[in-house]
Amino acid sequence: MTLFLPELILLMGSLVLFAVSLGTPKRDTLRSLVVILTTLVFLTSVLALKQNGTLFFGAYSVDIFSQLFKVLIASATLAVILFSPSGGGIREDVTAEYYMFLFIGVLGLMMLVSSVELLAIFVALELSSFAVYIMVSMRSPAADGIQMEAGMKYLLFGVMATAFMLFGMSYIFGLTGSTYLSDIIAGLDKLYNQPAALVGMLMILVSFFYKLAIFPFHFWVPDVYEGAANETTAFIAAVPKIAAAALMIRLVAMISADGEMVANLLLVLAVGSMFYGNLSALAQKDVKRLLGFSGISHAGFVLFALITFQENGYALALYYIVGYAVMTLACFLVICSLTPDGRNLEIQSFNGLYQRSPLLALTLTIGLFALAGIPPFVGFTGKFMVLYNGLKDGYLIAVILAAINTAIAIYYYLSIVRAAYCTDQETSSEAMPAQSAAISFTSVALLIIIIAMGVAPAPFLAISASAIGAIL
Amino acid sequence: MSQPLLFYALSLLAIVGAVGLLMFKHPMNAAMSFAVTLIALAGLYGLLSATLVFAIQLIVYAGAIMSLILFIIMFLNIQPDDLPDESGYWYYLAGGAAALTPLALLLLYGINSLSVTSTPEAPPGFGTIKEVGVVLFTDWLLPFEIVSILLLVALVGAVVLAGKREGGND
Repeated sequence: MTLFLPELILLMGSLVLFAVSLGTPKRDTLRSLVVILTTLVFLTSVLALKQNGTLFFGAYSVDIFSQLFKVLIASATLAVILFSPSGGGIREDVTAEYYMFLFIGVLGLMMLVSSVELLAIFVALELSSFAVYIMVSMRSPAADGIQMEAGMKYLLFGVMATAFMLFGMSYIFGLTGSTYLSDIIAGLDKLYNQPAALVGMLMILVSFFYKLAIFPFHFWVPDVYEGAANETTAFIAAVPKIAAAALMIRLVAMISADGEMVANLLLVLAVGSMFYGNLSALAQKDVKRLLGFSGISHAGFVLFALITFQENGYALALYYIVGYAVMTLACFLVICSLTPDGRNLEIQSFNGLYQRSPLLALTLTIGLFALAGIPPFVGFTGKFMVLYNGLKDGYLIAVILAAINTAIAIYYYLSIVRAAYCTDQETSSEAMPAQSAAISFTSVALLIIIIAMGVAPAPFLAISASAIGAIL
Repeated sequence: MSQPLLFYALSLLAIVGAVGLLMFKHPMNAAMSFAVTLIALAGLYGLLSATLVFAIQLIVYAGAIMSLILFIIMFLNIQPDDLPDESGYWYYLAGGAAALTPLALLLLYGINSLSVTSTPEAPPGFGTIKEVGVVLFTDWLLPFEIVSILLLVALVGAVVLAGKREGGND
């Protein structure tokens, strides 16, 4: 029972919200209900952390790897729920449905990290994707219909990536005769010199490249980030990427038998993501677009961590994606708190933020410093260890290119910090929206995690290494 | 040995239908062309002794879903003026083909280098309702259950997106 408890609570929560959506709930009561339900999900996922076992005829594996990712997904969702403004961004008549889709999307992601069977992986991924496609389109109509365009683009690119994944799965199923990952690993051992097996695995990976926004599967990012409501973008930027990284670790660990060619291919994608993301971000005015492009470059670093095909590389990828999620959530917390009406922010909107709200300015600054890779925050530690690991494995040129990228990134991150601290308020006379205690609490918690993970990475790396050990 | 011949004929038909779906300008022609693909695929499933999937493909896809698509196209009553301007069509087609050629070559290379020459015969009872049901409710129980939630998402999502906006202008 406890094995499956977080998922059951999520399912129950989404059904409760479905029932609520049939009436006409008030926004504030709805919000309290969602906060309670999400807290419940978080608590049960922590409770189920030490569980071990399999369900559904071995298709659903509950181990420390999956349970750790469930805790991460649940806590990131809780953070998004706590700092999202109560309304404004979402169409008022469908707010209950919006939260229902949020819960179902999280349910899909939780099932995704536990699935060890190709069809279950596919259906769970679709479940989370479809919920998010609809969430993107549910932004309040004040946004001139860009939300529909964003949802449509997200859907079309997603369907294309899914088609690649299914095609790859058909290859793998044809070669090994099973959809269970454990059987596939055994079958692939005999097929290591078959190009078809490699092509199949790579095509399955494409779907997760798309979720993590790795070049050249990133085309949805800028428009979806800009078109979705601020809280939806915060969700998309953090939560699905954690689950996508989990599945990439699982799948890349399966093909490590013949690393050479795959490593080169992934290396090109990783460096391509870094350059594309960073160079495009330089030209952005809209903050959410900028963070989207920065997410592409950080996805490159996650991929770079995987290339070593070793346990510590996988553990680093896990550490890096968690750090990235925390840093991005800190930035989106500020964006969401500044826009109770749900509009998009430009960089100038941060002018003089330190006078209007010192805590938000501090959160923004530390979040951006961490994203830029400035010590002692988690972004620096993560990048440093990923590059050091790459250097040890002899990827000298790639490490140099990645180091150049961190230098490029500093420019656009710090231009926002400059707007927040070094500009006077005269250009921006906006009244500061009142801050709730929940927002202050969330921002302090995120700051503590950013600093703690950066200063003392060892315990976090030990946890992630033990999680990785469970699937190897 | 009519099986390879049938396989190539049905595959060719499926590809021709798919190309037609992309090339026809009017949605009605494209939909009919799509039906050709669906029926050819049903034939391919039949060749593989997957009798249940063969029947479902014909009844659900070629039957129910196609008629739904046709109904929608008829409801919309699309005139030639409503069709979008597709002046850059051939350039996009050429660009897409050029981008996909390396991928197709890679796939062909992968398939050609397979050392498998013969495949075992299907066991008796393969593809019947009972066999498919047993697999569906044991090995693939989890995906089967998740699909039920996926259908709920699709249902509510369609209502939310297509439903009448209160006080809206559309």
